[in-house]
Order: sequence, then C-alpha cells, then structure tokens
Amino acid sequence: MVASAHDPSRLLSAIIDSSDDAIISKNLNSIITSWNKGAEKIFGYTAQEAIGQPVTILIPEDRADEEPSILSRIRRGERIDHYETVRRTKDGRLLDISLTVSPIRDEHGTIIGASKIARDITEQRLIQNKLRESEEQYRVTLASIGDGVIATDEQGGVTFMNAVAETLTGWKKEEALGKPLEAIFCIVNEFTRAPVENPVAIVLRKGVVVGMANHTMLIARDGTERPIADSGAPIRETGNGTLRGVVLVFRDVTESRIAEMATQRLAAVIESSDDAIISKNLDGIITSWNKGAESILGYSSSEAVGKPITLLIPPERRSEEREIMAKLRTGERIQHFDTVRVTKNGKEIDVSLTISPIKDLSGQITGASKIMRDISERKQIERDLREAKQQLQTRAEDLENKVRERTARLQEMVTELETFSYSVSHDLRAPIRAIQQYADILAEDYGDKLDDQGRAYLKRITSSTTRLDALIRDVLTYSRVVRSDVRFEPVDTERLVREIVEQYPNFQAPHAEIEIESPLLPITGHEAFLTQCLSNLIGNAVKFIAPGQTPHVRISTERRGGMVRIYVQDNGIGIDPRDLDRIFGMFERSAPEQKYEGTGIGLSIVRKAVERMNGKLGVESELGKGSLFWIELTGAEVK
Amino acid sequence: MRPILLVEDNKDDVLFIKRAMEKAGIVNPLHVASDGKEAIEYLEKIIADSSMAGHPLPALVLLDLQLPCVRGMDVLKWIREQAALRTLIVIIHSSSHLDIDIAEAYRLGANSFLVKAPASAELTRMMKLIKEYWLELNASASDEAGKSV
Repeated sequence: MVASAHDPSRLLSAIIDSSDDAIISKNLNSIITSWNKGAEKIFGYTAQEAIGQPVTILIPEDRADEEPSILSRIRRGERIDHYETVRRTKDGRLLDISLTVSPIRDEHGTIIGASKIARDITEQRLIQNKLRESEEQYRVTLASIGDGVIATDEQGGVTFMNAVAETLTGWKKEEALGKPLEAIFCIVNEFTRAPVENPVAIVLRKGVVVGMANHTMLIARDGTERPIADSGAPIRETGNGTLRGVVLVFRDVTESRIAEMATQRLAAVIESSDDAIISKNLDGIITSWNKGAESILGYSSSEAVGKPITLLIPPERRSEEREIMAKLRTGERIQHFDTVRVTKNGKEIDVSLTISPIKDLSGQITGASKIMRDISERKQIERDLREAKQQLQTRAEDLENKVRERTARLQEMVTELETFSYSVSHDLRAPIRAIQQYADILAEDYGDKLDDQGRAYLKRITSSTTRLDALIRDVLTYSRVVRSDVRFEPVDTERLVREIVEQYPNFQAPHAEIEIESPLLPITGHEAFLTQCLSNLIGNAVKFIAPGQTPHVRISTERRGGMVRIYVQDNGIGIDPRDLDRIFGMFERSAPEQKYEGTGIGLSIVRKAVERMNGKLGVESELGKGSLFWIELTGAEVK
Repeated sequence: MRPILLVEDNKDDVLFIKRAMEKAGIVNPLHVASDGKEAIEYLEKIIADSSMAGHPLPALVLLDLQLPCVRGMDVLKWIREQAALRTLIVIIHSSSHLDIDIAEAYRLGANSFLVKAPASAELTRMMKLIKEYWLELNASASDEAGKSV
C-alpha cells in the first residue's frame, strides 16, 4: 500500500483510524511519525506517547538487528510483505505480528520514511499451531496404521503416503508427493493381469466410497507383485462438502491369500479324492462328506450330513463304532483298519479306514475325520490270488500224483523187467540145462550103445547148449549193467585185479601169465561194473591167443589229468583194423567162431559199464601182434 | 533112516537129482514135494504125528526157490517159524545166482545155497559132497533138541 503523508484526505484518515491493524509511519531515523487507533489497541501506547519515539520501543532486544535491515531495504525502495515477527507491547507482552512495510516518498519521489501495517497474529498463530498439532496427530496416526494409506488431492496427485504404503509401493513419500497416483499405485487383476481402474479414479468420478476389491495385484516399483485388498474414500471439505481428494487404504493379503489358497487346495484335494473323506462329531453325527464319499457310498452330501455314522455300518459290526470312538477319545489314530461298510443301495463293500481325531484350537477333541478307501477290488484280487494259489497247489498236487503214478508205473515196469530177466534166467535156462543133462546121461549111460557118429552128435548138442547158456547169462549181465543203479566210490584197482586173477584158474600159470604193473592207480566207479569190465577184458586177452602160445597179459594204469586209464595188453591174435570200429557192438565178433568160443556180448558189456561210469574206452591192435584195450575212468585219492 | 525132502517142481530136475543121488550113493528115502504148499503140508503132518515112528523129520530139505503157489523163500520162512523145524537142515538148490536171492536165503535161515549144476557130472559131484558133508560129517541137532527150542 502506497500512502502519502501530505494527503490530508479525511476519508483516508477515517479508514486508517478504523482499521484493526496498527498503521504506523516512521522516518528514516526510525522515529515514529504517525500512530493510529489500531496501533494504540495492539501495542498499548497512545499516539501522543508513541509519536516522536524511536520505533525500537516496539522491538524485543533479541530482534534489535531486524530494524537496520528493514530500513536498508526501505531505503532501496523495497517493500516488505507479511513479514512475520514478534513485537513488544507497552506492558511488555510479546505479540506475533505480521508486518507489511512500504517506503514513503515525497513529491520528488525521494524516500523519506516508511509506513508499517502490523497485524496481531498471535491468535492466528495459536490456531495454526493447534491445527499443525492436530494435523501431525493425524499424520502419525495414518503413518502408524498397519495398512498402506495414500492421500491424493482432487486431481489425483499424491499428497501423503505412510510407511506401509512406501514399503508396498516401493516409492518414498518425498519422491511420490505430487505425482499422479497411477504412477505410484499400479494395480492389475490377479488372474487376467488387465489393469484395474484405480479406486481413486472411481472415487473422483463417482464421489463415493469404493469398497475392497478382490484379486487385485499391486506391482511395486521394483516389479514385486503382491495381492492386495484396497478401498478408497473421498475427502470432503467440512461445511460445503467439496471433494478435496481421496484417501486410499490398502493391505498386503499375501499371507491370508496363502492361507486361503491352502484351504482351497485342501478343499480341492478332499473334493477330488477317490477316497471317501468324512468327518463326524463326537456324537457320531456326520458333519462333512466329500465327492469320494458320494461315489463310494452312494449318499449325496445333503443326504449324509446330519445323519448318524451308523448309517454306513452293517448291523453286525455296530460294536466297531463304539471301539473306534473309545480309541479316538484317547487321541489315538486308527490306521488301515479293514472292515465292511454298507452303501445306500444296501451293498456291502470292503473298505480300509484311517480315522484321526479332530481337535479344536484348545486341543479338545471335537470329532473325527475318516478316510475310507474302497478295497473291494483289492480284496477281490486277494481272493482271486488265493484261489489261483489253491488251484496252483491242486495242480502241483495233481502233478505230484502223476509223477508218483508214473514213478510207480516205471517201478512196476522195472520190477516186471526184473521178473522177466529172472524168468529168462530160470525158465529159459532150465530146459537148456535139461537138454545138457539128458545129453550127458545119454553119453554116460548109453554111450557104448552108440557109434562114433552118434556120440559126435551128442557132443554137438552139449556144445550148443553150453553156448546158449553162456549167451543167456551174458544177455542178463548186459541188461543188469544197463539198469542197475551206479554207485560211485573209490575202487582199489590193484586189489580188484588181483582178486579177479585169483578167481579164474585160466588166468593163472600155466594157462596164462598175467603181469601187473604195481601200483595200479585207484579209480572212482562202481566196483561190480569194473569187475565185470576187467574180467571180460582179461578173459578176452587170454582167450584170443594163437594155438600153441601162452597168453601173456600186462595190466597197467596211467594218470591222465583227473582221469586214470587202465590198460590191458595181450600177445594175442590181434584184431583186423576193419573190425576195430564194431567190436564193441552187441553180438559182434572179430575172431572166427569155430576157433574161439564167445557170445559176442562181452565187449558190449564192457562198453555199457564204462559208459555208465562216465568213462571212455578204446583199443589199439594189429593182426598177429596183440591188442591193447584201455578204459578211462575218474581217478580217486590213493588210500 | 531119515528121509530127504526134495522140494522141486521141475520133473527133469527131479529125475536128474534122483539119478545123481543114486550115483553118489545116497540111500535115504526121497520124498518129493512138487510145490511149496505140498512141502508145508508134508512137514506139518510130521510135526503133528511126531510121536509116530513112521514119520521122522527129514535129514535135510533140498529146496528150489522158483516154485508155483508158495515160493521157496516162503517155505523157508515158514519152516524157521515152526519151533520143531528151527534146526532142520535146509539147502537151497536154485538156478538163481543172484546176490539178492543168496542174501535173502541166508537171512531167512538157510544152511547152504547151491546153484543148480549145468551138467550131470557136476550134479553127481554135488550130491556126493552133500552126502559126505551134510549126511555123514555134519552133526545135526536131534529131533528132540529141535522140538524143545
């Protein structure tokens, strides 16, 4: 305000005097030159008392330096607006003052003093302080709320945000202030990821409170995503209700979402389980019933819930329920209890039950959860398996019986064969013996009544019967070698050979010379078989000798690895090389029959006996130079 | 003179044995039983009529094994089961030379086992030996001793 001291206008004077503000003028020496009623009221000095006094009477000592700086600014022609400071009244009170100081110029424009308009703002200050305090209180309150709070002005610019909001958005309050809310509070739909309209925008548009929105995902400054629940409310001016901004409150629901999802997942698991999952209270009343229960037991959830669990228990198993409940009350869990339950249509099914007590937060047992698995199929498989096993056993028994039968039949056949051999031996040989003896008797008692021709015929009868008897005996021996059980035991070859030689007079001098190359190595075999082999071989060796010669037989052994070869070497007539291959065959003879008696079975018996003792045999021979027969059998430890 | 009991079903063998015994000089009366049943009946009768002087126990029994009806082994077994016949001399005369038969015969209490000879000269020799050994040399238990056991 520019005033002129030389303008004596009454109006102006009246305005000045009627102002509540103190309107004071001073010269450049800081001497007060005018003083209105307002000044008198505020500072306590009358115009008379004040005019002519230095203005410093109003300035507290600690602010004494203000006046020179104000003066120097005035001298430069500057105006000072609403300069808030403190001044002192006549009675020494300090007042909050708002000063507006303007230079006063003369008609030439020279600055000659200053006018001051001082307003007492003590009360205003007080109110302001109170307001600030209250504001601070709200601020602290908002800051300390567990939820995020962001306030905006009516344009949607951020005016406030608390610490939680800072954390959740990743924005510092200082950075966020004044920015549009969309920049700070970026939200998308949790599932579609489509941007969601900001609640502030809705509030600004509709002017109403917007409630918690579901499935909202807040994307923080660093990209972190958090499910949140948010709401917005309008801030209205007191009195006229003008919309001044919006307050947004939001909360991180990650934790509760996890819990919720877990619950949902659990519910899904229960619903999708093939097992029946049923809960009941301690009175045995069904309290929940899943899809599995529905499909296994036939009752729908609405049919089953509220009904006693005994609905599912066959009458003869009712006592089970009491035992189960008694166990549950002790907190015990029942695992894989196989039993039988009844479905809605009365069918009994095999089930496996696992029952656990349900406890409330205080640990009190309030009921039980039952997991029931339909094991009809398993039981059926078990039954099938048992049946199959039974069948298998029956079959095995059948088989055993068959084996027994066959063995018995085989045994019978063997017995029959033995009986047959026995009767061959007895019944066949008896008539031969009779023929022989009748021939003998004829020769003895009636020989002198026959001529030479007759006696020759009798001799032919005798030699034929002798040969037939030998043949039968050899066939029997052969068949015995074929079918006897073979026992393997160590055999003292040398002892055996000596016994054989002792037993047959024609193996001894002067009929033959048998040379034993001691010690003969022992073998493992069947002694009776080996006896048969060696007596046959030695028998052949002494038999097939050129007329006039004495048989010379040499018996020796040789170790060949784990085997022992027994050699029987003679000085006999030898074997035609053409016959070597077939001499071990049945009824095969090499030597001419008329010269050498024999059945042609002896070597077959040897071959069969050696084969049955898992051995080998062979012969080396040259006509006129004798033969070397050998048999090779498993060796034995020398006793 | 105590008889000899020949248990033999083969008529030829009976003939040969009779002839060989004659040749060997055995003069004991020969009673021939042509099967096991007959032999047992004969012996049973002797036991029953033992007081009668006309039926003394045989000096020995020549027993074939292959017999119709009751087998030789069963006859032997029966004989040894009779208290009166426990010491009766029983000689097996068989065409079998099987170890199993020989062992079984001795187990059942045979006194000797002879394999039937293939030629008449050998049979005659066998009978001579029987005469010399069993009828002359060997001291057998008396009837009374036999019965008292």
